[in-house]
Amino acid sequence: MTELSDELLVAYVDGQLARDQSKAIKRVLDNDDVAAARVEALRATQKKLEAAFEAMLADELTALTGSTAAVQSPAFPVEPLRRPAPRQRKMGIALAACVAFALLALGVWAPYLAPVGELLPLPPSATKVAAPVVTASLPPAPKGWLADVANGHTLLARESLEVSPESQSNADLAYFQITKAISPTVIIPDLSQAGLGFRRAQVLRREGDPVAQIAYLPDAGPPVALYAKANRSKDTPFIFDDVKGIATASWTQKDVSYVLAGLMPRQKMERLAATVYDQVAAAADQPPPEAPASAAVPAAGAEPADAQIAPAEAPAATAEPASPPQQ
Amino acid sequence: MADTRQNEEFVRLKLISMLPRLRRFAVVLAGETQAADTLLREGCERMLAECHRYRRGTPFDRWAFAELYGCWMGALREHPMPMPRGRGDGTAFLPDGASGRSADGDAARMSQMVAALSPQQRSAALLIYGEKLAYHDAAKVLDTTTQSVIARVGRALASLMNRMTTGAAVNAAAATVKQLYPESPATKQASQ
Repeated sequence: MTELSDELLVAYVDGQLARDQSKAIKRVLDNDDVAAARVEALRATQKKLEAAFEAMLADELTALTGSTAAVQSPAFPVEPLRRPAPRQRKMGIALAACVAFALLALGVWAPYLAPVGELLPLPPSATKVAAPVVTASLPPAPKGWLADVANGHTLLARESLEVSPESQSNADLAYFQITKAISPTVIIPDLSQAGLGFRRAQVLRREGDPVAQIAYLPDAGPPVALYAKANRSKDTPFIFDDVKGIATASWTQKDVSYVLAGLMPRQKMERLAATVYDQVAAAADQPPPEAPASAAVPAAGAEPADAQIAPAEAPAATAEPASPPQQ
Repeated sequence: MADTRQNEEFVRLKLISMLPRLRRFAVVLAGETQAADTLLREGCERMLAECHRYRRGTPFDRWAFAELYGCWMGALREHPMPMPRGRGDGTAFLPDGASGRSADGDAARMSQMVAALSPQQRSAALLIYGEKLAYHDAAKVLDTTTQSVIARVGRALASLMNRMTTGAAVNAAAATVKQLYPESPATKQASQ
């Protein structure tokens, strides 16, 4: 038997050795059953360790989303997150960031982070930027992390968690689920041109109505999510907003209200929203109608034909022309 | 002034988005949840107070992990009895610890084994296998050399592997005893 240190074998298992070193180790393993068995055992241990760390992270998310007595009630049963399979491990980090970011967007604070919540005060009321003639008053901001947690928790539904992470990250299965829950016109937009890769889609609930969350991740940086809910009203123009530092774009198209949210500059959000809009329109096998298109991309100083129509849930406070998205 | 405020806001938002990962790191370092929460709070305070030290372009997660690790090391140095610090409580590593649900046997065993590792081994293993950092990045976070990280991870994994192997052998032996001597006191005791 050739003596190979555990450090060397672990580095080999982790793929951290130089190519020549790896080849040399592999040659040794081909001729040494004991060392090969040890490498296999190390691999198995590594997978179990990864699964344990993933489970810890899932536990942190459980703590964030519904483990406290304050938010846990029979009316909102919280299923434990499924233990991720090893092959999902790379998704774990992205999932954590995505959920944390979504919770941030929703104003959710974990109970154990109450001191940090006080330490990290929420930004002052976001400046509202709305499409022309859209006027609505902002609902009063919830005060305290408890209210925020409760608000965020109301979005969780059974289908948010009972669908396996594998299914949520499979675009075909996710598409099937959200079209069934929201509308046949909903799609999972391909945002790869913008450097965003699809990560998962899940169904949340708002006041009993299903809301789809389609999450994307760039190679680096925070996630971006598209939210969609059924809304059988007239198409509406884009409304660009900034909520707690998160850029948002909202509009209604083909019986669905969309909200795109992410930490990005306004211009990038406009381009991204336009991309989603075009893909939804193309998927509906109809070219984008003139009126919504012109409303979505208003010329400077011009008012779109349906500018008087306020979106069903536009939380806009001040009227300000939306700058045209840049394609 | 505007840059400082912008930087602080950036750090604040990034910190929030990283909180689950940071808390996991804090639990791995501190070994139990209460100390982890204290560490996380102190770490966040420090990062916000010294957000000017964060340079744009640096991967934020590595900076944040390094700051949290520095915070833990600082507390360790100041503690009158540093040796017992970071001794792991197995329940802190249980998958469903926060939700209060029971974990399966495998997960509980793995949690106990992870808890038995030293904080340095646990943190190196987490950065490599949980956070998927390269060895040299983990070394920067842990303010040590790549060789040290390799050694810590190697020892951690070998230790876990040996414990798992031993555990499997013990279980196999117990199963044999149970099969051969179903009425033995040991079997009855184990089945109770």
